[in-house]
Amino acid sequence: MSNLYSQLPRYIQNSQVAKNERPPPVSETTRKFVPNFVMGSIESTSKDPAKIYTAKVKDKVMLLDNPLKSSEEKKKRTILKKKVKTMSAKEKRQTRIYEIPKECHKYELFVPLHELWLQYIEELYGKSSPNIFGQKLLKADFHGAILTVSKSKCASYIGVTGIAIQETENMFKLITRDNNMKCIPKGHSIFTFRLRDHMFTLYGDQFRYRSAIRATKKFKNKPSIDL
Amino acid sequence: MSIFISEPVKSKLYISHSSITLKKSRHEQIILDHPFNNNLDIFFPSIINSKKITSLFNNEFFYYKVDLPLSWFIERDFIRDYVKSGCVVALSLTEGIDIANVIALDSLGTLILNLTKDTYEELGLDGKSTKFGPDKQRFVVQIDLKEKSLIPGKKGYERIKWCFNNTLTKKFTFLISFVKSGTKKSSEIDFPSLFNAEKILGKFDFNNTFDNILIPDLNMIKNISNEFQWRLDAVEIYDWIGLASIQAQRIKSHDQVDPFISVYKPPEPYSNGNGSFIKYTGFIPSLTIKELFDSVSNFLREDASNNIPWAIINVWGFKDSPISWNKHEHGYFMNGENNYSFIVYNDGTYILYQALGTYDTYS
Repeated sequence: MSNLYSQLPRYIQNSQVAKNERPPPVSETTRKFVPNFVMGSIESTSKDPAKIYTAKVKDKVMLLDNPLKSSEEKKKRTILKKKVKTMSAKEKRQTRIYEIPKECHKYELFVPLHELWLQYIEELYGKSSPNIFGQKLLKADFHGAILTVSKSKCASYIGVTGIAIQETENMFKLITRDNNMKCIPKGHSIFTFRLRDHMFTLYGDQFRYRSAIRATKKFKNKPSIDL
Repeated sequence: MSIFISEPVKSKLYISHSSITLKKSRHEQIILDHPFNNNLDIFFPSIINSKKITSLFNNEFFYYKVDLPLSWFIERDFIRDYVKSGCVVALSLTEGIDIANVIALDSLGTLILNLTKDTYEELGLDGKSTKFGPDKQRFVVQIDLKEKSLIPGKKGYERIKWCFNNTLTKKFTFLISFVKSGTKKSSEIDFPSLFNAEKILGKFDFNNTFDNILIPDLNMIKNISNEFQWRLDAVEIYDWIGLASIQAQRIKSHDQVDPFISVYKPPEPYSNGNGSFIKYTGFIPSLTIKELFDSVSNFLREDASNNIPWAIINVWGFKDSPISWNKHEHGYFMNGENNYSFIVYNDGTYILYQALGTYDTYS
């Protein structure tokens, strides 16, 4: 399996376009003037003006213009932004854009996703202790994890094992080894998965957010009393 | 368990009057439908030669105490060799039906799992919530082992097997007895050695005499003339039966207890007499009880001249059993009574008392 962040392919690196790429042209006077001017204007108390220059100014892009101030211009800009078209929820439903077509309900298709997830979660785990890792897990992504339902109010969900291929606010969609897709509600269920010979438990009830929101949400300690 | 009980809880006592000679008589059914019997005693209002008694009522029975995983019950060999060729009864010994999981196999071959909520939510088999106690805190799962579709390869069977091998793998300590349908005697069960099977013989206690007691005249409730009065009398007699079975001092003829402690008097008319008991304790198969019942009634019929006009048979069911009679759900709450008593007369008439605790659906 290739690495998560692989390099650009060779043919792109060697292409003519890439070779023609140059840093933006800077006139000779500017190149001479700027370092001298900046280093000269730094107070003499600081030890090494050259070092500060390389750390803070060299090769950095800085906005020298004043930002927009007039409210009219701002308005214009917001109107422009709004014009970016997104699909409405209804359209999403009608086009079934998030539905996984039936011919794709195959376990092997998602094995690479699982391997990718393993790399990701290993990297996330790193050298942290299981306790700290628990905190990280709250915000982790579970697309590709092999989840098992260990406890549920509904008897027939118990024991379902599969690769999580989609997470919505209230659902995990798992693809099982016998190529079935099972939609398991997060509520009233407890999920487990194995990692480095540890068993991790996800309390579905506490997990009922969209994954994007979950990543930025601040979680509070809440006891799980009942399924 | 709720402290806020809206109305006083009632135990139930059903009294019926019938005769063995009648075709519609339910006595056999009552005995056979009550699978989990802990205790049995038979009372005669006279002292009977213990040798004679031993020869008459020596129905040997035995049972096993064994640690079993649940998957053992759904093995094909077990179902073929035992469930379908006789009557296997098993009951798990746990802390109690209010707080722990109770597993039972009744005489009809139904595996009954009375589970706490936590276990049920992990098990993965479909069940119903119990009729008693706080809502949805206990669940009952029933598996009919005699069902035709319960064979390897079928979806339902594989699911049950998977659950017993993966989710509820714990071993339970069971009392288990097997009566072969041919011989109608307790028979051996083969257990793999790792189950710690222990064979227990039923305890017999023949030499139990209880002399100088006040015995009421049970003939006064033999026939019903006034139903209301009969009911009152029958309940009074039941009190006396209870005192007799614990061999209470209050029914001794020379008892002179301070009325501050007890003002009990046996139901009138009573007379002085002696009694003798046969006692059985253990996990008694219903078939054994039925045979004992038959031999008692035969003994009374043949012995008509011998001054034994009647006998009493008391049976106490296990208090923590998940069912009482015939798959009727049973619980504990204040007491888990599921007992019955027969007063058998020498002409075949009998009076049946069935005592049940609050948590029971039998009626």
